[in-house]
Amino acid sequence: MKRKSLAFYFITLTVFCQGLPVGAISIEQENAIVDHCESIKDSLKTVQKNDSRTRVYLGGYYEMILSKFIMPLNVKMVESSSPSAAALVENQNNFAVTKTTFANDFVSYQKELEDLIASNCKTEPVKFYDELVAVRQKRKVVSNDVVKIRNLINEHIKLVSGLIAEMQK
Amino acid sequence: MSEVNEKKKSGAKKTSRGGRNLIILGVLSVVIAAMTTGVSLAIYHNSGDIYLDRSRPGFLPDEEEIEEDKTEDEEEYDFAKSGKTDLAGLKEYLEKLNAVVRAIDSYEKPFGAEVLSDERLGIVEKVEPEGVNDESLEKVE
Repeated sequence: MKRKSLAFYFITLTVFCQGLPVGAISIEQENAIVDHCESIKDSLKTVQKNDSRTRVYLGGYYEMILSKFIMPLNVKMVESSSPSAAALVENQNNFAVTKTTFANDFVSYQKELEDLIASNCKTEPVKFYDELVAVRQKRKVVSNDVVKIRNLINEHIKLVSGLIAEMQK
Repeated sequence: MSEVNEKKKSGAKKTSRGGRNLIILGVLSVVIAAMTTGVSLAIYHNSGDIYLDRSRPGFLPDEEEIEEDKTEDEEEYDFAKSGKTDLAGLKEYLEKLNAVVRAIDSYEKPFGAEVLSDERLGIVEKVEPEGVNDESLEKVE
């Protein structure tokens, strides 16, 4: 009997939780969104502008590293049949793929952010907060891409440092 | 006399037909221009180029940034032009690469989560710490 009632409570709780919005917010948060709607939107616009700047600069640096450093070095390494050539080329491929992923993820994030700025936070604060949660997730994906690219640059530097160390032997 | 009148009438008809064609041509040109502009804008938006376009109103670089760019007019390194795969060449390569990496690292936590946090956006109501009330504030003053 106890088991049955426990199962009943569990099912009721599950059904109740499914009915709640994704980013359930407190009444205080809801009121804060309505009260500070304009200032929140101004902050989001500033974030959008700063992100655009960061994207342009980082994208420029990544392109420079790929086209003026990694690719020409790898061409020479392959031509000279260097033992590190395979690892360098693999690193280059990963770098190019991650760079493209970063560009695409940034566009996806910006579209979401643009929609968030356009949405009405005064009349639909809960929907606004749900969209904000989605934007945060997209931003995290972009941030992870930046970390991945930085790791690939480190990997490339290690490979070249290894080559130098071998030459110095 | 009647022939002259007919000729005049047919001339007027020709002119009006020409005028109508001119109007059609004008309208068509405007419609085609509007359509191609719409398609271009859709491509510009959907490709994501709009998010990299810093000449848009509200996205223009600040004066400080323009000044910084002016000072960074050094000649760019290109391994394809000057690089050699000997020891000195690779050392120079690493040195130049590290300079670019330092520029990348100058962006602290790019796309960090803090800027979109509830606190930063003012979504969390400020809760006054316990024991702080108007009376205590007056005493401090």
